[in-house]
Amino acid sequence: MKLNRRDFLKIGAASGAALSMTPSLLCAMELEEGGKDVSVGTNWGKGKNRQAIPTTCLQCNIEDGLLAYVEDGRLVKIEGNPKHPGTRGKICAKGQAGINTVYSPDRILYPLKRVGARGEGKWKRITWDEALDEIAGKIKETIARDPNEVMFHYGRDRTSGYTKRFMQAIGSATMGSHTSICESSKKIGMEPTWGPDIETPDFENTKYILNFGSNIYEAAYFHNTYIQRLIDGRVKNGAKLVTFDVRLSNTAGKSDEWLPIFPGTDGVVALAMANIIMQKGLANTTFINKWTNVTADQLKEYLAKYTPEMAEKESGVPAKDIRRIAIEFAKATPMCTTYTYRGPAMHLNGSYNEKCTMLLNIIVGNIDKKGGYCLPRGMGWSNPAPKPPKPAKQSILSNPPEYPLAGHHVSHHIAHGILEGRQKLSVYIWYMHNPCYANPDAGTWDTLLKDTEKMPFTVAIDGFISESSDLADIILPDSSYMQRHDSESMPSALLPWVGARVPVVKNIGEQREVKDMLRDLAQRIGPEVGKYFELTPEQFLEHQMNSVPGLKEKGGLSFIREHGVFPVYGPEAKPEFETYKKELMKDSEGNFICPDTKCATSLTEHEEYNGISLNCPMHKKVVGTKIGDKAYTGFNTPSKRLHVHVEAWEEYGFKPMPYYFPIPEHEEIKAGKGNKLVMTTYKINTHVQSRTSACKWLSEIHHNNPMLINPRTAAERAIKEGDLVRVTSKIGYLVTKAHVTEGIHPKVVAISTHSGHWKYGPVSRAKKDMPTPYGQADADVSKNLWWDDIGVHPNRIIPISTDPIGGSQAWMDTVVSVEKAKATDKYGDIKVNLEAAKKAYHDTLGYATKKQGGSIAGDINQAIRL
Amino acid sequence: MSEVLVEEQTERRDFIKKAALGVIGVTAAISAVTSAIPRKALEAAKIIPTKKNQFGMVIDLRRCTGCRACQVACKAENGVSLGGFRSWVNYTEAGAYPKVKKEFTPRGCNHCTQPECVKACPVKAISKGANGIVLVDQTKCKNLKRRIKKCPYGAIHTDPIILKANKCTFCLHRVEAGLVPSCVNTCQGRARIFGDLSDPMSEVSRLIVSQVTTTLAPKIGEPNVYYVGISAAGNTGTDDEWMKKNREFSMLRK
Repeated sequence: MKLNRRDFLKIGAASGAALSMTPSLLCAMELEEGGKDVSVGTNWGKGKNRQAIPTTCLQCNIEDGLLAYVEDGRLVKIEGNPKHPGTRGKICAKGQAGINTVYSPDRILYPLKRVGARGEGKWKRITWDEALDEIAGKIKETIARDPNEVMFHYGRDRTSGYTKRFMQAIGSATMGSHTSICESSKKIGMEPTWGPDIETPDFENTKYILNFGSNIYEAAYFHNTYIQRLIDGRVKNGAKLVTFDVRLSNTAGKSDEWLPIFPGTDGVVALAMANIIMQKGLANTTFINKWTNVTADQLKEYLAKYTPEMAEKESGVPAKDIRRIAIEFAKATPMCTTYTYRGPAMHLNGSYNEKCTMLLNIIVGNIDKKGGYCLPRGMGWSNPAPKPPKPAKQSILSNPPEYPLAGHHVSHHIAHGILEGRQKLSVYIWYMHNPCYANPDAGTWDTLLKDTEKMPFTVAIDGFISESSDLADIILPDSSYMQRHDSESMPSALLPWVGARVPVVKNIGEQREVKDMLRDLAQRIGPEVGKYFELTPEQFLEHQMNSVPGLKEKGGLSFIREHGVFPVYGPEAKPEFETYKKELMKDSEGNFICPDTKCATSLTEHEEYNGISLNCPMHKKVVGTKIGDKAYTGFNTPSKRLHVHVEAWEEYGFKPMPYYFPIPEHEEIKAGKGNKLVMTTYKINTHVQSRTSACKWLSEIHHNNPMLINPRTAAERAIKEGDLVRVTSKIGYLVTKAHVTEGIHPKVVAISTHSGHWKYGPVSRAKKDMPTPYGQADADVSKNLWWDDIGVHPNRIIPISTDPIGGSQAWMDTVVSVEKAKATDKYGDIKVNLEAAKKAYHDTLGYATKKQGGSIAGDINQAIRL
Repeated sequence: MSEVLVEEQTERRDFIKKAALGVIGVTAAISAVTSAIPRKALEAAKIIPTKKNQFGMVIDLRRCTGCRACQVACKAENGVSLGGFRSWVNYTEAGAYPKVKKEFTPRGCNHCTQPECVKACPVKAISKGANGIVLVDQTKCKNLKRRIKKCPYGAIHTDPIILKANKCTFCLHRVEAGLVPSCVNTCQGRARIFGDLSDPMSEVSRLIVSQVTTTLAPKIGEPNVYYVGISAAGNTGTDDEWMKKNREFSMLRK
């Protein structure tokens, strides 16, 4: 029977009641949401179908699945991949502007060699052979002496192990990353407790979200996938969203409740809530006793001193609200969750804060439950053989001994480390990173990169002439993310997935993808290095995809090219919950079997950490935890239970239990003495920190970053909307504009990190006439770019301050004074005292563990007023 | 029914069949109904819709995340130059510290039933199509700017390259191909629902029946974009600073 639209409607009307049960059929009457695209055509006539190529986003780091539409060889449109279990066909503004990333006039297309002095901005175009021969020669010469003198420092890697492979192949352990200026203290706050470095809250099914300083509506990990579920949870499920933040982010502004909080005090509020939950008998004591390494009684006693009144004194959050919210949260269990990505970890007490907020989930027992605080799910692959051995020597720059617990490098200390001669470098290569812009105390990086003695040879792998690559000896033009091969998997949904980034359009000019550059370099260095790089980037990806369990049978990379993601779940797919409750099998005699080795040797039981662990004598480790007469694989921790008490922290003089200490520099402000304020930075929804400024559609919306200030605070200083203000930290000052808003804590000012490039090209700097001799022109930019205010970047006046446990930069702790600008001040002025910056670095080293010469770690613990 | 819709019906058959067989995957299944469809609304299928031949949109502000993806998607989809927006999102901040709230109001052409711009254009370059979509015929446009001032919703701008009026078309080229407009496609919160207001069974019609909706102030011209959960401040809210500057720039163009 031929069915047309009207016939269908008749059927629909006739079977009214049944139809209401099948809303998908009704939806099918509507237009399709996506999965294909057509061109506009002339005068709104019919356009032609566009070719859809599934790939993976890299505008930010959350790796959404995309459909990239190509017309006549040009990328013309991007949408979310509807088959992707995380992305579900939707992408954010940054993702939509990916076209700009490919075709930005700010982008460079040719290898460049510096001809003037560093920073003079004089370049000449050279060939790839000239560039790579020179770099390979320097590396070869250096590794013959000491491989660790070659350093590779990435901002965003996303090469699935390729850069590390290169460094291991040349024998160097000297690598830097971006994690310590991002979320490392969040990771370190979580890992010892339950294994993974992140949580995946089940926002879709939850009833209560306690949000500590996360901006899920705009920027948090995994913004795009989580916000979809959070909205569903709120609208369909009536979930309540409560946000603690110093600033009215879009998340705070849309929350059921916004509770402004003094910076760095999330931990004490969480502890007070945990205390109330224990006191009121709302904790899941069975879960605590079974699944953690402390007992409910121990925990109750430990938490007793953290009263809501004490928390109010520290945080400014009223005690009655702390009590009420604690009870609301606990009563919603297991359909309740915290989320913290990643405000609380951005403080001197960051790792502790994370551990305190995590505790709230543990005591109500919502761990990995439907609607609760879930373990991240992911999929893996293996890289092809032969694999290079680990480097023989450790690098002090990669793993500074002052921070033995900071397992994700402390890379914002690198500049001082090199300048002070902690480790000699001969070759410094950076990639997808902008250290002179993205780091705290960024001015010190200028000094370093201009120092030809400390940094004799520098190479930037960059898509732009940035604040940093402007100081390089050679710039290698990096492809955009639409022109490279990478495998990806992220815990952005409760259904695990693997995807890939594949070339969508051809490289423009002479760009190459980073894997291709490193492979070519390896081969030029010699066969001992080159032998690890026989596969092309495409073949490397193909190997990885074939190694994913179940994917090879489906076609490996060709399946991924067709669908963009594996598995392709049907609409009915449901995630598994309580994955830690996988039972250990028993043999015929009733003995538990090791889940890893499957060996018949019976496991030995022994009591430790307040529970019974099962040890496998074959590979000498705990493989399960015994509860009653059953045994479970549990969590990825030493006892397979949740470690509320972390022994390793105690070993280095830190507190093993969830703990709070007030940030010493904030004491006067909290006490109401003087007129200092705390400066925080933040992200909005249309930019990542540095490189999306080159996207014209994003910079058109957000191109400047006035300092947010509360009307009361502004009035005390006679500051009015739009006034020029001078913001002074202990290492320098900047001059910017004020935006007076009710949406900020009176003791806090905030400046977004997105604006204020002094390098890059015409879009980032809003100079439409700026020539682009090494890039591509964009007539829309040169004719229509209409804004001229590009804001002022705050990072130069932010001193280094480092969480002694997790190693994160304490971005949200900067103490400043704010006043009306002086008559001689100009918008955009930045002055920094590098001696003071150096002192701040040494001061923060003082907080490091006593075992490594730090003096204050223990004292912080002792000096607590509380 | 308009020519466009007739064409669309033919193209829809395959899709309907697939849907009936249950082979349409994630897209259809999660094109989430914003709110439960009350039985009454379904029975109301007999009710003759108030709109004739009119595509329209419902924007559920409880679901709007303020992400501005619609704004950028529109630029990409329709090749809109810098200095003009067919689709944009206004932010409103209301209240006094610490009781402050934000509201986001996506805006654009309302494809009015009685469009002021059509009346204002002396060269008849703007017209209302048989499907209710208001379109600019750029071959006739003389950039007289009267319609920019006449539009109560600020939805028309001058394209800086060809110096012609430019505005939202509800992505007519996509609609003709059986696809929702690009702003709807990318909407993270699924706040934007697009469809046929003259079909009482369409999701937009069912939402209008089952939810409290309002159109933008001043309601001149009978707008066809309906908002769920809009506040007085959000409804009459002024443009953001960047949008104001953008408009100044647009008006300066000769």
